[in-house]
Amino acid sequence: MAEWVTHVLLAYAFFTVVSWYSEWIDEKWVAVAMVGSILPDLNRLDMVLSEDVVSYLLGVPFSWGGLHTVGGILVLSGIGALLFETRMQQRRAFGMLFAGALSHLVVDLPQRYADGRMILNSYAFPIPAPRPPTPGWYVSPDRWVAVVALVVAGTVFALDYYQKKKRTHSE
Amino acid sequence: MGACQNPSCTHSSHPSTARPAFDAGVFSPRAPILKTLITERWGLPPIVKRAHRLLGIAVLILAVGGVNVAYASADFQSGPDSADIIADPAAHDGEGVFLFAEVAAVDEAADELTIELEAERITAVGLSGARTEQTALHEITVRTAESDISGTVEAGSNIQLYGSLQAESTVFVAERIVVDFQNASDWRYMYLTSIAGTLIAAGYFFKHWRVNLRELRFEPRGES
Repeated sequence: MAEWVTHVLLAYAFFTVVSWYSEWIDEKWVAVAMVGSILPDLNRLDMVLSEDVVSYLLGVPFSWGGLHTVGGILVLSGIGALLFETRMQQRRAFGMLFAGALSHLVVDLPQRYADGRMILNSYAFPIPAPRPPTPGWYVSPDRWVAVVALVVAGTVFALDYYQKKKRTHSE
Repeated sequence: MGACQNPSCTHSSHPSTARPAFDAGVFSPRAPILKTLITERWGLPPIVKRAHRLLGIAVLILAVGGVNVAYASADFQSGPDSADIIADPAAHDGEGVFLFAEVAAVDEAADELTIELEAERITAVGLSGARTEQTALHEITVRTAESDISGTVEAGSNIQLYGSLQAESTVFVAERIVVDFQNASDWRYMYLTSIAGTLIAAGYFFKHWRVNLRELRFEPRGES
């Protein structure tokens, strides 16, 4: 769990680059992927409605951590997609939300863990997965992570800006 | 073919002059039944379409609950976790343990930390919140002399520990300690960046989309 500046900016950078090679991914769909990059961290709903309280009320185990998984983001992306109107918009919104959320999980993988392994098995739920060794690049509050994300996003923004400017000139 | 506008004539007893039944309508491979249904749905009045979407959202919110229940029941850790240690402290001596914990105290002179594993039980839930009672408090002394510690530890820090338990889980010999959140300033940084990240995403999103509150949906800006 890097912080949200990092997740949102890296999603912006990645999907803007993808948009250079795609017919239909434009700024408005990049924006949807940026929203998607926050979805896994909706597990912080725990701070609003504690999972222990939900578990007490339902009488079964309950953990908001289920949202920070492949299964969780599939369902959340489905909810988001239904907030759009046409079939095509819904399909694209689903794809971009899911891709953005998946980018979040990927960025979260190489964090530092005391036992030296990624927690891929939890992120991939319900798909069975091992726990491969982690490079241990960062822990959540490391400030340099957001600095790197800012530099990457700034570079992509500049390239995108000049590319669009060149295109409008040549037209 | 042009003479036959009535759909019933596809059931004509003269197949040579009528379109064969399987070439038309829902059974045609060019217009499979699903696609026909979707096309029909597009023709529904907007209020019905909105009701369909809201029903879909309600079903998926239940599915979110299902994922969270299934996730809570899954076991992702190979070794014992806090709950296992509290439940039976004597059973885990010598086992490799990977724990998340909050530091209760630091004794730098002795290269020791103290962590407390706590179990709580909810006794009642009301509008003002939940009433809890502590059911167990298990104190563990963490020996850090041989361990590799990333970051600085203080009381209140959130850390990860990897090592082994001894003396009926009252001593933890740490091999490696990772400090996730050292102090309040780390937490504040997380909150502030969360707000900033939300603003960036929301700003970019609403630059390109607007909310139609009456229909409860997003619509692209700049297109009518």
